[in-house]
Amino acid sequence: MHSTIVRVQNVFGFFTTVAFCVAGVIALSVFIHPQSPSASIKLRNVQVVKGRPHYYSYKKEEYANIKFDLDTDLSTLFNWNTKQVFLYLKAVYPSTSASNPASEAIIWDAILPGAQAPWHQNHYIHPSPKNKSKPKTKKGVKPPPIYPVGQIHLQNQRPKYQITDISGKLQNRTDVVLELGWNVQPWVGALVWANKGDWGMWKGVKGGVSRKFSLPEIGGKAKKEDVATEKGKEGHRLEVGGEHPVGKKGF
Amino acid sequence: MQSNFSIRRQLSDALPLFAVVTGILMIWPLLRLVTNSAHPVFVVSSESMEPAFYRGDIILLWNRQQEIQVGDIPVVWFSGRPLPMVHRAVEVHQIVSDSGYSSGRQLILTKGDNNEVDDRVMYPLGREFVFREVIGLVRGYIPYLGWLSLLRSSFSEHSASR
Repeated sequence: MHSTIVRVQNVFGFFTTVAFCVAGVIALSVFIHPQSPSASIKLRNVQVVKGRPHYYSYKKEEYANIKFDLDTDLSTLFNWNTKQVFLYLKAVYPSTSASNPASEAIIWDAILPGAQAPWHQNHYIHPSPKNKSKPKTKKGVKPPPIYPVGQIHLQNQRPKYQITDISGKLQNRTDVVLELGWNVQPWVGALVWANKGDWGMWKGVKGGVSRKFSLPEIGGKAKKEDVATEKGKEGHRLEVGGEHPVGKKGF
Repeated sequence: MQSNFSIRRQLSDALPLFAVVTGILMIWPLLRLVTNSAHPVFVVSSESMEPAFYRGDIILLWNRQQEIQVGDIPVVWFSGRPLPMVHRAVEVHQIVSDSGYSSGRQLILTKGDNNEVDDRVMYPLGREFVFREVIGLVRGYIPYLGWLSLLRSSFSEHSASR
Protein backbone atom coordinates (compact mmCIF):
# COMPACT_ATOMS: atom_id res chain seq x y z
CA MET A 1 0.00 0.00 0.00
CA HIS A 2 2.91 2.27 0.65
CA SER A 3 5.36 0.92 -1.86
CA THR A 4 7.17 3.26 -4.19
CA ILE A 5 5.35 2.06 -7.26
CA VAL A 6 1.97 2.75 -5.74
CA ARG A 7 3.07 6.19 -4.60
CA VAL A 8 4.41 7.08 -8.01
CA GLN A 9 1.19 5.85 -9.54
CA ASN A 10 -0.92 7.94 -7.20
CA VAL A 11 1.13 11.06 -7.80
CA PHE A 12 1.02 10.57 -11.53
CA GLY A 13 -2.70 9.95 -11.50
CA PHE A 14 -3.36 13.02 -9.41
CA PHE A 15 -1.10 15.12 -11.60
CA THR A 16 -2.92 13.98 -14.71
CA THR A 17 -6.32 14.77 -13.25
CA VAL A 18 -5.25 18.21 -12.09
CA ALA A 19 -3.55 19.02 -15.40
CA PHE A 20 -6.62 17.96 -17.29
CA CYS A 21 -8.88 20.13 -15.14
CA VAL A 22 -6.60 23.16 -15.36
CA ALA A 23 -6.41 22.80 -19.14
CA GLY A 24 -10.19 22.54 -19.30
CA VAL A 25 -10.68 25.65 -17.19
CA ILE A 26 -8.19 27.60 -19.31
CA ALA A 27 -9.85 26.47 -22.51
CA LEU A 28 -13.30 27.49 -21.31
CA SER A 29 -12.20 30.72 -19.66
CA VAL A 30 -11.56 32.47 -22.96
CA PHE A 31 -15.28 32.94 -23.42
CA ILE A 32 -15.43 35.47 -20.59
CA HIS A 33 -12.79 37.69 -22.17
CA PRO A 34 -14.62 40.41 -24.10
CA GLN A 35 -13.73 40.92 -27.73
CA SER A 36 -14.54 43.82 -30.04
CA PRO A 37 -12.65 43.44 -33.31
CA SER A 38 -12.99 46.04 -36.04
CA ALA A 39 -11.60 46.29 -39.54
CA SER A 40 -11.79 48.46 -42.60
CA ILE A 41 -10.69 47.24 -46.00
CA LYS A 42 -10.42 49.32 -49.12
CA LEU A 43 -9.50 48.23 -52.58
CA ARG A 44 -6.50 50.09 -53.98
CA ASN A 45 -5.90 48.57 -57.36
CA VAL A 46 -6.73 45.42 -59.21
CA GLN A 47 -5.27 44.10 -62.40
CA VAL A 48 -6.16 41.05 -64.41
CA VAL A 49 -3.38 39.44 -66.39
CA LYS A 50 -3.23 36.43 -68.64
CA GLY A 51 -0.25 34.32 -67.80
CA ARG A 52 1.05 31.56 -65.62
CA PRO A 53 0.54 32.59 -62.00
CA HIS A 54 1.70 29.41 -60.27
CA TYR A 55 4.89 27.44 -60.52
CA TYR A 56 2.92 24.44 -61.70
CA SER A 57 0.75 26.26 -64.26
CA TYR A 58 1.24 24.56 -67.60
CA LYS A 59 -1.19 26.71 -69.55
CA LYS A 60 -1.95 30.39 -69.53
CA GLU A 61 -4.92 31.50 -67.48
CA GLU A 62 -6.33 34.78 -66.24
CA TYR A 63 -5.31 35.77 -62.77
CA ALA A 64 -5.94 38.86 -60.67
CA ASN A 65 -3.54 40.86 -58.53
CA ILE A 66 -5.41 42.85 -55.90
CA LYS A 67 -3.74 45.60 -53.88
CA PHE A 68 -5.57 46.83 -50.81
CA ASP A 69 -5.59 49.07 -47.74
CA LEU A 70 -6.21 47.39 -44.41
CA ASP A 71 -6.87 49.03 -41.06
CA THR A 72 -7.83 46.73 -38.26
CA ASP A 73 -7.78 46.53 -34.49
CA LEU A 74 -7.71 42.96 -33.29
CA SER A 75 -5.99 43.58 -29.97
CA THR A 76 -9.00 42.29 -28.04
CA LEU A 77 -8.60 38.87 -29.62
CA PHE A 78 -5.44 38.34 -27.60
CA ASN A 79 -5.97 36.88 -24.15
CA TRP A 80 -4.10 34.61 -21.77
CA ASN A 81 -4.85 31.58 -23.92
CA THR A 82 -3.93 33.03 -27.30
CA LYS A 83 -0.88 31.49 -28.91
CA GLN A 84 -1.28 33.22 -32.24
CA VAL A 85 -3.84 34.69 -34.58
CA PHE A 86 -3.72 33.62 -38.20
CA LEU A 87 -5.10 36.61 -40.04
CA TYR A 88 -6.17 36.34 -43.67
CA LEU A 89 -7.83 38.49 -46.29
CA LYS A 90 -9.97 36.61 -48.75
CA ALA A 91 -11.53 37.61 -52.05
CA VAL A 92 -15.07 36.35 -52.53
CA TYR A 93 -16.17 36.30 -56.13
CA PRO A 94 -19.17 34.77 -57.85
CA SER A 95 -18.89 31.78 -60.09
CA THR A 96 -19.33 31.91 -63.84
CA SER A 97 -22.50 29.89 -63.61
CA ALA A 98 -25.39 31.44 -61.69
CA SER A 99 -26.32 28.28 -59.83
CA ASN A 100 -22.94 27.84 -58.17
CA PRO A 101 -22.15 29.52 -54.87
CA ALA A 102 -19.37 32.11 -54.73
CA SER A 103 -15.72 31.11 -54.73
CA GLU A 104 -13.29 32.24 -52.07
CA ALA A 105 -9.53 32.63 -52.23
CA ILE A 106 -7.03 33.99 -49.73
CA ILE A 107 -4.93 36.82 -51.16
CA TRP A 108 -2.95 37.76 -48.05
CA ASP A 109 -2.26 36.29 -44.67
CA ALA A 110 -0.19 37.07 -41.58
CA ILE A 111 0.65 35.24 -38.38
CA LEU A 112 0.33 37.50 -35.34
CA PRO A 113 2.03 35.98 -32.29
CA GLY A 114 0.65 36.14 -28.78
CA ALA A 115 2.70 37.64 -26.00
CA GLN A 116 4.37 34.45 -24.78
CA ALA A 117 4.65 32.63 -28.08
CA PRO A 118 8.22 31.51 -28.73
CA TRP A 119 9.83 33.31 -31.62
CA HIS A 120 9.23 31.80 -35.02
CA GLN A 121 10.50 32.97 -38.34
CA ASN A 122 6.99 33.18 -39.78
CA HIS A 123 5.73 35.75 -37.29
CA TYR A 124 4.43 38.81 -39.04
CA ILE A 125 6.49 41.95 -38.64
CA HIS A 126 4.47 45.03 -39.34
CA PRO A 127 6.13 47.19 -41.99
CA SER A 128 6.84 50.69 -40.81
CA PRO A 129 4.68 53.40 -42.37
CA LYS A 130 6.39 54.97 -45.35
CA ASN A 131 6.47 58.54 -44.10
CA LYS A 132 7.83 57.76 -40.66
CA SER A 133 11.56 57.27 -40.27
CA LYS A 134 12.70 54.07 -38.67
CA PRO A 135 13.67 54.46 -35.02
CA LYS A 136 17.38 54.02 -34.34
CA THR A 137 18.05 50.62 -32.89
CA LYS A 138 20.98 49.55 -30.80
CA LYS A 139 22.77 46.48 -31.97
CA GLY A 140 21.29 43.31 -30.54
CA VAL A 141 18.16 45.03 -29.24
CA LYS A 142 14.87 44.17 -30.89
CA PRO A 143 13.21 47.30 -32.26
CA PRO A 144 9.96 48.16 -30.49
CA PRO A 145 6.85 47.17 -32.41
CA ILE A 146 5.34 50.01 -34.35
CA TYR A 147 1.77 49.33 -33.34
CA PRO A 148 0.38 47.42 -30.38
CA VAL A 149 -0.21 43.74 -31.00
CA GLY A 150 -3.30 43.20 -33.11
CA GLN A 151 -3.37 46.59 -34.81
CA ILE A 152 -2.57 46.58 -38.49
CA HIS A 153 -2.45 49.60 -40.78
CA LEU A 154 -1.38 48.85 -44.31
CA GLN A 155 -1.53 51.06 -47.36
CA ASN A 156 -1.39 49.85 -50.93
CA GLN A 157 -0.37 46.40 -49.74
CA ARG A 158 0.66 43.89 -52.35
CA PRO A 159 -1.10 40.56 -52.11
CA LYS A 160 0.75 37.37 -51.25
CA TYR A 161 -1.24 35.23 -53.62
CA GLN A 162 -2.79 35.82 -56.99
CA ILE A 163 -6.22 34.39 -57.56
CA THR A 164 -7.47 32.31 -60.42
CA ASP A 165 -10.78 30.73 -61.22
CA ILE A 166 -11.55 27.15 -62.14
CA SER A 167 -12.92 28.36 -65.43
CA GLY A 168 -9.58 29.99 -66.25
CA LYS A 169 -11.28 33.32 -66.85
CA LEU A 170 -11.46 36.17 -64.38
CA GLN A 171 -11.83 39.40 -66.29
CA ASN A 172 -14.98 41.46 -65.93
CA ARG A 173 -16.20 39.49 -62.91
CA THR A 174 -18.59 41.67 -60.92
CA ASP A 175 -19.62 41.71 -57.24
CA VAL A 176 -16.21 40.85 -55.84
CA VAL A 177 -15.56 41.70 -52.19
CA LEU A 178 -12.55 41.45 -49.92
CA GLU A 179 -13.31 40.04 -46.50
CA LEU A 180 -11.11 39.75 -43.42
CA GLY A 181 -11.03 36.54 -41.44
CA TRP A 182 -8.94 35.15 -38.63
CA ASN A 183 -8.26 31.97 -36.75
CA VAL A 184 -7.33 32.27 -33.09
CA GLN A 185 -5.00 29.46 -32.10
CA PRO A 186 -5.09 28.82 -28.34
CA TRP A 187 -2.44 27.37 -26.09
CA VAL A 188 -4.99 24.68 -25.23
CA GLY A 189 -8.57 24.19 -26.29
CA ALA A 190 -10.77 25.05 -29.21
CA LEU A 191 -9.68 26.94 -32.29
CA VAL A 192 -12.07 29.74 -33.12
CA TRP A 193 -12.64 31.61 -36.34
CA ALA A 194 -14.05 35.06 -37.01
CA ASN A 195 -17.60 35.46 -35.75
CA LYS A 196 -19.96 37.71 -37.64
CA GLY A 197 -22.63 37.80 -34.93
CA ASP A 198 -22.26 38.44 -31.21
CA TRP A 199 -21.48 35.46 -28.98
CA GLY A 200 -22.03 36.68 -25.44
CA MET A 201 -19.04 38.84 -24.57
CA TRP A 202 -17.56 38.41 -28.02
CA LYS A 203 -18.83 41.10 -30.33
CA GLY A 204 -19.00 40.34 -34.01
CA VAL A 205 -16.51 42.06 -36.25
CA LYS A 206 -17.32 45.67 -37.07
CA GLY A 207 -16.69 46.28 -40.73
CA GLY A 208 -14.40 43.68 -42.14
CA VAL A 209 -15.83 43.62 -45.65
CA SER A 210 -14.82 45.90 -48.49
CA ARG A 211 -17.19 47.51 -50.94
CA LYS A 212 -18.11 45.46 -53.97
CA PHE A 213 -15.93 45.95 -56.99
CA SER A 214 -15.40 44.40 -60.39
CA LEU A 215 -12.39 42.81 -61.89
CA PRO A 216 -11.33 44.80 -64.92
CA GLU A 217 -10.60 43.64 -68.40
CA ILE A 218 -7.15 42.54 -69.24
CA GLY A 219 -5.29 45.77 -69.93
CA GLY A 220 -2.23 46.19 -72.02
CA LYS A 221 0.94 44.40 -71.07
CA ALA A 222 1.20 44.74 -67.30
CA LYS A 223 4.52 45.78 -65.83
CA LYS A 224 6.20 43.08 -63.81
CA GLU A 225 6.44 45.20 -60.64
CA ASP A 226 2.76 46.03 -60.78
CA VAL A 227 1.59 42.47 -60.59
CA ALA A 228 4.31 41.16 -58.33
CA THR A 229 3.33 39.54 -55.07
CA GLU A 230 4.89 39.91 -51.70
CA LYS A 231 6.54 36.84 -50.30
CA GLY A 232 5.55 35.90 -46.81
CA LYS A 233 8.14 35.12 -44.16
CA GLU A 234 7.77 31.43 -44.93
CA GLY A 235 8.90 32.13 -48.47
CA HIS A 236 12.29 33.42 -47.42
CA ARG A 237 13.36 30.34 -45.61
CA LEU A 238 15.27 28.68 -48.39
CA GLU A 239 17.35 31.67 -49.40
CA VAL A 240 20.82 32.14 -48.03
CA GLY A 241 20.44 34.49 -45.11
CA GLY A 242 16.77 34.43 -45.97
CA GLU A 243 15.30 34.93 -42.55
CA HIS A 244 14.86 38.58 -43.37
CA PRO A 245 13.40 39.79 -46.64
CA VAL A 246 16.02 41.59 -48.66
CA GLY A 247 14.96 45.15 -49.41
CA LYS A 248 16.13 47.35 -52.21
CA LYS A 249 19.05 48.68 -50.20
CA GLY A 250 20.20 45.21 -49.33
CA PHE A 251 20.24 43.65 -45.95
CA MET B 1 -22.78 -23.49 -1.63
CA GLN B 2 -19.33 -22.34 -0.59
CA SER B 3 -17.82 -22.54 -4.08
CA ASN B 4 -20.79 -20.77 -5.67
CA PHE B 5 -20.45 -17.92 -3.26
CA SER B 6 -16.72 -17.54 -3.86
CA ILE B 7 -17.20 -17.56 -7.63
CA ARG B 8 -19.82 -14.87 -7.29
CA ARG B 9 -17.51 -12.94 -5.05
CA GLN B 10 -14.68 -13.16 -7.53
CA LEU B 11 -16.91 -12.08 -10.38
CA SER B 12 -18.29 -9.12 -8.48
CA ASP B 13 -14.79 -8.09 -7.51
CA ALA B 14 -13.75 -8.23 -11.12
CA LEU B 15 -16.75 -6.21 -12.29
CA PRO B 16 -15.28 -2.72 -11.65
CA LEU B 17 -12.19 -3.74 -13.59
CA PHE B 18 -14.30 -4.88 -16.55
CA ALA B 19 -16.36 -1.71 -16.36
CA VAL B 20 -13.25 0.45 -16.50
CA VAL B 21 -11.69 -1.50 -19.34
CA THR B 22 -14.81 -1.49 -21.48
CA GLY B 23 -15.38 2.17 -20.67
CA ILE B 24 -11.94 3.00 -21.95
CA LEU B 25 -12.45 0.85 -25.03
CA MET B 26 -15.73 2.65 -25.73
CA ILE B 27 -14.17 6.11 -25.72
CA TRP B 28 -12.70 5.84 -29.19
CA PRO B 29 -15.87 4.68 -31.00
CA LEU B 30 -17.86 7.24 -29.02
CA LEU B 31 -15.51 9.97 -30.13
CA ARG B 32 -15.80 8.79 -33.71
CA LEU B 33 -19.57 8.92 -33.41
CA VAL B 34 -19.74 12.35 -31.83
CA THR B 35 -17.31 13.98 -34.24
CA ASN B 36 -18.50 12.03 -37.28
CA SER B 37 -14.88 11.48 -38.23
CA ALA B 38 -13.16 8.18 -38.86
CA HIS B 39 -10.06 9.35 -37.06
CA PRO B 40 -10.85 12.14 -34.62
CA VAL B 41 -7.47 12.49 -32.89
CA PHE B 42 -4.13 12.99 -34.59
CA VAL B 43 -0.58 13.71 -33.58
CA VAL B 44 1.07 16.36 -35.73
CA SER B 45 4.11 14.87 -37.35
CA SER B 46 5.40 17.53 -39.71
CA GLU B 47 6.49 21.14 -39.42
CA SER B 48 4.39 22.33 -42.31
CA MET B 49 1.92 24.16 -40.09
CA GLU B 50 4.35 25.90 -37.78
CA PRO B 51 4.03 28.02 -35.74
CA ALA B 52 0.43 26.95 -35.24
CA PHE B 53 1.11 23.24 -34.80
CA TYR B 54 4.47 21.83 -33.91
CA ARG B 55 5.51 18.22 -34.13
CA GLY B 56 4.09 16.29 -31.22
CA ASP B 57 0.93 18.34 -30.72
CA ILE B 58 -2.42 16.65 -30.57
CA ILE B 59 -5.22 17.90 -32.80
CA LEU B 60 -8.89 17.07 -32.41
CA LEU B 61 -11.12 16.86 -35.44
CA TRP B 62 -14.76 17.62 -36.10
CA ASN B 63 -16.50 16.42 -39.21
CA ARG B 64 -20.07 17.72 -39.01
CA GLN B 65 -19.55 20.78 -41.16
CA GLN B 66 -21.85 21.39 -44.08
CA GLU B 67 -19.21 23.21 -46.05
CA ILE B 68 -15.61 24.23 -45.73
CA GLN B 69 -14.46 27.85 -45.88
CA VAL B 70 -11.05 29.29 -46.55
CA GLY B 71 -9.09 29.57 -43.34
CA ASP B 72 -10.39 26.25 -42.03
CA ILE B 73 -7.86 23.48 -41.46
CA PRO B 74 -9.03 20.29 -43.18
CA VAL B 75 -7.24 17.00 -42.69
CA VAL B 76 -6.83 15.47 -46.12
CA TRP B 77 -6.02 11.79 -46.52
CA PHE B 78 -5.58 10.55 -50.03
CA SER B 79 -6.12 6.84 -50.43
CA GLY B 80 -2.92 4.87 -50.51
CA ARG B 81 -0.93 7.48 -48.61
CA PRO B 82 0.46 6.42 -45.22
CA LEU B 83 -0.30 9.74 -43.56
CA PRO B 84 -2.78 12.56 -44.02
CA MET B 85 -1.94 16.20 -44.63
CA VAL B 86 -3.05 18.83 -42.16
CA HIS B 87 -2.99 22.16 -43.98
CA ARG B 88 -5.10 25.27 -44.34
CA ALA B 89 -7.72 25.76 -47.05
CA VAL B 90 -6.68 28.74 -49.15
CA GLU B 91 -9.08 28.44 -52.05
CA VAL B 92 -12.62 27.06 -52.16
CA HIS B 93 -14.90 26.72 -55.17
CA GLN B 94 -18.20 24.96 -55.21
CA ILE B 95 -19.90 23.12 -58.01
CA VAL B 96 -23.54 22.31 -57.74
CA SER B 97 -24.27 18.96 -59.27
CA ASP B 98 -26.02 18.99 -62.60
CA SER B 99 -29.39 17.99 -61.27
CA GLY B 100 -29.48 21.21 -59.25
CA TYR B 101 -29.13 19.64 -55.81
CA SER B 102 -27.02 21.80 -53.54
CA SER B 103 -25.08 18.84 -52.24
CA GLY B 104 -22.60 19.27 -55.01
CA ARG B 105 -18.96 19.25 -54.24
CA GLN B 106 -16.47 21.71 -52.98
CA LEU B 107 -13.09 22.02 -54.63
CA ILE B 108 -10.49 22.92 -52.06
CA LEU B 109 -6.87 23.97 -52.42
CA THR B 110 -4.69 23.68 -49.33
CA LYS B 111 -1.39 25.17 -48.23
CA GLY B 112 0.68 24.67 -45.12
CA ASP B 113 1.32 27.84 -43.12
CA ASN B 114 5.03 27.08 -43.13
CA ASN B 115 5.25 26.18 -46.81
CA GLU B 116 6.04 28.74 -49.42
CA VAL B 117 3.72 27.31 -52.03
CA ASP B 118 0.40 25.56 -52.06
CA ASP B 119 0.00 21.81 -52.06
CA ARG B 120 -0.96 21.17 -55.63
CA VAL B 121 2.18 19.19 -56.43
CA MET B 122 1.42 16.90 -53.52
CA TYR B 123 -2.00 15.94 -54.80
CA PRO B 124 -2.28 12.76 -56.87
CA LEU B 125 -1.46 13.20 -60.52
CA GLY B 126 -4.16 15.03 -62.38
CA ARG B 127 -5.92 16.31 -59.29
CA GLU B 128 -6.02 20.04 -58.87
CA PHE B 129 -8.26 20.15 -55.84
CA VAL B 130 -9.31 18.15 -52.85
CA PHE B 131 -12.88 17.24 -52.18
CA ARG B 132 -13.87 13.90 -50.78
CA GLU B 133 -10.63 13.18 -48.99
CA VAL B 134 -11.32 15.51 -46.08
CA ILE B 135 -11.77 13.42 -42.95
CA GLY B 136 -12.40 16.33 -40.61
CA LEU B 137 -11.56 19.90 -39.70
CA VAL B 138 -9.18 20.73 -36.87
CA ARG B 139 -11.18 22.30 -34.08
CA GLY B 140 -9.26 21.50 -30.90
CA TYR B 141 -5.66 21.47 -29.85
CA ILE B 142 -3.51 20.14 -27.03
CA PRO B 143 0.20 20.99 -27.16
CA TYR B 144 3.15 18.66 -26.61
CA LEU B 145 1.26 15.56 -25.45
CA GLY B 146 1.75 13.54 -28.61
CA TRP B 147 5.53 13.20 -28.39
CA LEU B 148 5.39 9.65 -27.04
CA SER B 149 3.42 8.56 -30.07
CA LEU B 150 5.98 10.10 -32.42
CA LEU B 151 8.81 8.33 -30.65
CA ARG B 152 6.99 5.04 -30.99
CA SER B 153 6.41 5.49 -34.70
CA SER B 154 9.98 6.59 -35.33
CA PHE B 155 11.13 3.17 -34.17
CA SER B 156 8.85 1.39 -36.63
CA GLU B 157 9.22 1.22 -40.38
CA HIS B 158 6.46 3.73 -41.18
CA SER B 159 8.28 6.77 -39.90
CA ALA B 160 6.30 9.99 -39.79
CA SER B 161 6.82 12.26 -42.73
CA ARG B 162 5.31 15.26 -44.49
